[in-house]
Amino acid sequence: MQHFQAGDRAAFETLFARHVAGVRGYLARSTGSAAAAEDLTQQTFLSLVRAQDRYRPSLRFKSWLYAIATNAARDWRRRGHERVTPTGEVPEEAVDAPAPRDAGLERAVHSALAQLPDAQREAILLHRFEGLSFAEIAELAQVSESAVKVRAHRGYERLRVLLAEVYRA
Amino acid sequence: MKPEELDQLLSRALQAPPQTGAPDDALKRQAEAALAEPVQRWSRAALVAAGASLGTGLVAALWLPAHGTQHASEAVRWGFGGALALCGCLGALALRPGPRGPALAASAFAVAALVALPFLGSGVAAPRPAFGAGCGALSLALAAAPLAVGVWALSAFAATALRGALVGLAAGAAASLALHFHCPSGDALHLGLFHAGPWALLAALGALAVRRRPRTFAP
Repeated sequence: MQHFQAGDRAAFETLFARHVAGVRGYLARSTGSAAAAEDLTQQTFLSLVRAQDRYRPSLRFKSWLYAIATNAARDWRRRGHERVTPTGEVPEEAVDAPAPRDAGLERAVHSALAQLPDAQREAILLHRFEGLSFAEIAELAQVSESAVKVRAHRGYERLRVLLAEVYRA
Repeated sequence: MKPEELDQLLSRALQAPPQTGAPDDALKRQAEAALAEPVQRWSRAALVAAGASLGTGLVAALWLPAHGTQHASEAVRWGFGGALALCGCLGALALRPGPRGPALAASAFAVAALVALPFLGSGVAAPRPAFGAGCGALSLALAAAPLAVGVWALSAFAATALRGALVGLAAGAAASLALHFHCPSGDALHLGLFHAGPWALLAALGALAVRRRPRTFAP
């Protein structure tokens, strides 16, 4: 990232190639929509380019990049794009999963994730699926590492309750 | 459900999503098109924001007629005037990337000034009771431009409510600087209601303004 900040355009290509799949996957899991993930991935990398001056070398690049993606997903959710019913269900058409996958299970898990507070959902997705350490998540969320562990623990506890019936079925 | 059972369930449901829509090349081309745009330097935006606050405060302090202003002492007149000018500049720290330390320190400074304001007056009551509403309206009018500049600068990134409040406090400090050398009233009620009140309102406006969609999602 420091090479990119210094004006090396090739460094951007390296960063893009290394992280685009991870960012897209995180945003798809976070929003439950592959189409939204594409749009937000684009906005994440556009933000990276436009706000490159805001990156500080003392910060891990991955933490900074996923902080941008997390902000984009939160903004998407805040603007009412997440279609969750008052009972916490995600409507069938909202999860645009391809047919061969278990659409029912995906919908149930996304409904459960949608019912978690943002901070708990982000801690679980970033740690469990994106491989970020608790320290890296703490860095991007600007909280202590122990706070992130508590968020993840509470999120898993809540998911266990919400998904108990799905698992039995 | 056991933890490992939940883990299996999540793995099955949230496996790597397929790619749809724009392929990587199209995404990369769009991002690379942004490379041609000039880099948005936060330091430049901070200088503009600080300049707007300080400039508004100083110009208004010099331009507005002094209605027989009374202060407890010369030290309060110039010391507090200097502190308000500093508060106006400290709002620029809200734009600085990184940990919350600078923003919190600046907030604490501005809030301390806000709390101290009612106690620094001369104790002399306003010549006309209606003078108060004028101070409140003038405060909001003077702060409008620096607040607008600060909010524009905040929209360059995903700002927090704390940073927004700090920008509002800085704009309020600019208006208070002008009122400090303009208003003849020195009683605590007037200062608290019509000088500190609008200042607090500006902080709230700044905090609310960050809910606008930012130009980038960078922290």
